[in-house]
Amino acid sequence: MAKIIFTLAINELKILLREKTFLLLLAIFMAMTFFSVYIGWSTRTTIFAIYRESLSILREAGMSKFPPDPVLNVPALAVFNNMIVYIFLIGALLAIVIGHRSFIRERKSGVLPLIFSRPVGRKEYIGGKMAGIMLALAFVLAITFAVSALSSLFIPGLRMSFAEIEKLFFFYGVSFLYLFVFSLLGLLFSIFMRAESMALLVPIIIWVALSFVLPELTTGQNPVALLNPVNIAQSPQAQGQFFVWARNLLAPFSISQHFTVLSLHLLGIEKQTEASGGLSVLSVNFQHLILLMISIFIFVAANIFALSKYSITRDKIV
Amino acid sequence: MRNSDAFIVIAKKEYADAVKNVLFLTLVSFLLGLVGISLLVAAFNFQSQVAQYNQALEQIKQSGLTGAMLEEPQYYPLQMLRGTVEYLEIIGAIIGIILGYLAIAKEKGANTARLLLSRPLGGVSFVGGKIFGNSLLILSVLGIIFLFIIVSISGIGHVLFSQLELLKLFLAFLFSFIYLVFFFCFAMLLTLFFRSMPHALIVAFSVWLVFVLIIPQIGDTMDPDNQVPGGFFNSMHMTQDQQKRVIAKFKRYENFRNAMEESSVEKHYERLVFATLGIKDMYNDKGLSFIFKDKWGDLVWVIGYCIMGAILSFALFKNGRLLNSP
Repeated sequence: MAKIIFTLAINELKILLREKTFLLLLAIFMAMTFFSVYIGWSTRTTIFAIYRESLSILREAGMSKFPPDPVLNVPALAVFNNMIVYIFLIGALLAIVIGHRSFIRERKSGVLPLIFSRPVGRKEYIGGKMAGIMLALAFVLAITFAVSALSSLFIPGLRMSFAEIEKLFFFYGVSFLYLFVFSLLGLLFSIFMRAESMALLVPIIIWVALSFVLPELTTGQNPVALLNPVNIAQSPQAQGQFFVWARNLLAPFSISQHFTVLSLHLLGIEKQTEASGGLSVLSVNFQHLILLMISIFIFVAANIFALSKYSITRDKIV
Repeated sequence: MRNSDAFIVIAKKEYADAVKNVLFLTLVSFLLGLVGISLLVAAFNFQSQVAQYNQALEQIKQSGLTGAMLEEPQYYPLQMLRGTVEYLEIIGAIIGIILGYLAIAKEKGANTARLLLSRPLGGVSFVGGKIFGNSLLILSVLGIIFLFIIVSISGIGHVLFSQLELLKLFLAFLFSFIYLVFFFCFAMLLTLFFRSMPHALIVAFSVWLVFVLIIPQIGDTMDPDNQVPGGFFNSMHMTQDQQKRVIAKFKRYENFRNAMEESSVEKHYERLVFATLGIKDMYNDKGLSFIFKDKWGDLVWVIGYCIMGAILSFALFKNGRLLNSP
């Protein structure tokens, strides 16, 4: 069984690496990873310069007491804060496409009857597909981690300690879990939807709902405000009975928020756990990690169930 | 059949097909739901601000002081529409993409393209009819949302709009219409261009992601004033004049940030609509001449993008492309 799963997983990765759509999204993702480090560094140094300039103007105006520098004591890892949003946006779309292509490709080419004519069980097959998706995501995130770590070497004054590299590693680990949820969503709809385009569109709509609607209901923030890590970390939570009720009811399902909260803590943007190590940050926020894992288990089970009901002979993709 | 007849027939067919399409109806219902949620969240946010104000006022009065130093929250119904505009930016654009994609994909996929092209039908009738029919459809969707907002705020919220507010709301929806038609044309031209339809859809979504979500996000996070909640310059207690003096010394950085934002049709649309509705405080309660004196550039950009999308769709139409599906 393990051998079949392994063969299917390697095959999945090989095919993905030949697909233009995957490579296009991967290229956008890599470019944005590199760019995010540049943006983080550029913003940080400019704010510092603006602060100094502001001080001199305020001194001229006769002021003697000044607020502290806003970027003072900002951890080195905060330079990667835009990656939270890129994983949240591009990463999730890439993940949906990976999951979607994984099964649709075989439905369209008509190889499924051939595959199932061999001694391959449905559980082995879906296991192989999921393992292949995991390999593909691990491959993407390993490159992203390397690009982040290497590009930080070129930033003057930014030297990451071992503990910070460890936290960056955990951040990509959490990103892996988050992206895996969306890959499984893409895979699920590619199994049971008749139309190829619908199988891609429905997960995208669900992603929009999970990423924008649930957080809006639980935090009271407008959708676009949720794309700025500073807003997410530092804006006070909306008060009032409605938001308390919405938080209690919907927060467990808000996958994007679990990812965002964990990321903000791991990258040191949330001050409470800034000085803690990666493992201790995860243990403090274990409930978010657990809820992400539960989502994965639910989607894995849903995929296994969907494939068990899938009829090879009646399938007619449009 | 004359070209003008063909144009009308295609436009009517587009409209009739879309209102029977489950995906389209689902998306429109989803958007309406989101508009409802955003209005609800805005209302509860305001209610919460008022409650906090009253609580603070009560505490101040109990301590024997007057509440003059507190700023009373002011209710402006059009400012409640921030979330709605943001959903139109995101989901509205997706609806435009889906319509543009379906307009071509249904012909390619069902092989009706061959039948259509066997008739004496020009590109102007075909593409023009598709754009016209779908534009009417987008107008209908926005009309429903427009009415929904008026009914929700006036009927349920018991807040009457002034004539100027209604005009501003109407203009905001007109700009939304142009913005959505751009995305329709854009997705249509991609579906005409690519042989593989799912690839066209993925490329359309990638561009949507970059120009609707990522580029504005970059501009926003690079804004020095956004680095501190409540604003960097506010935290430094600086006057407008002092802020301008500081920013003048960082022209290159600001130009780069601005260039990023200028490249996004979404940012032009957002600036225009936020100003029209007074969501951006400096335009709140101001007349239209004041707003458009400042925002005409954004209006030109949004219209320009839309016209460019339509022209490219006409330019890319070739019989071979329509027949060229895997």
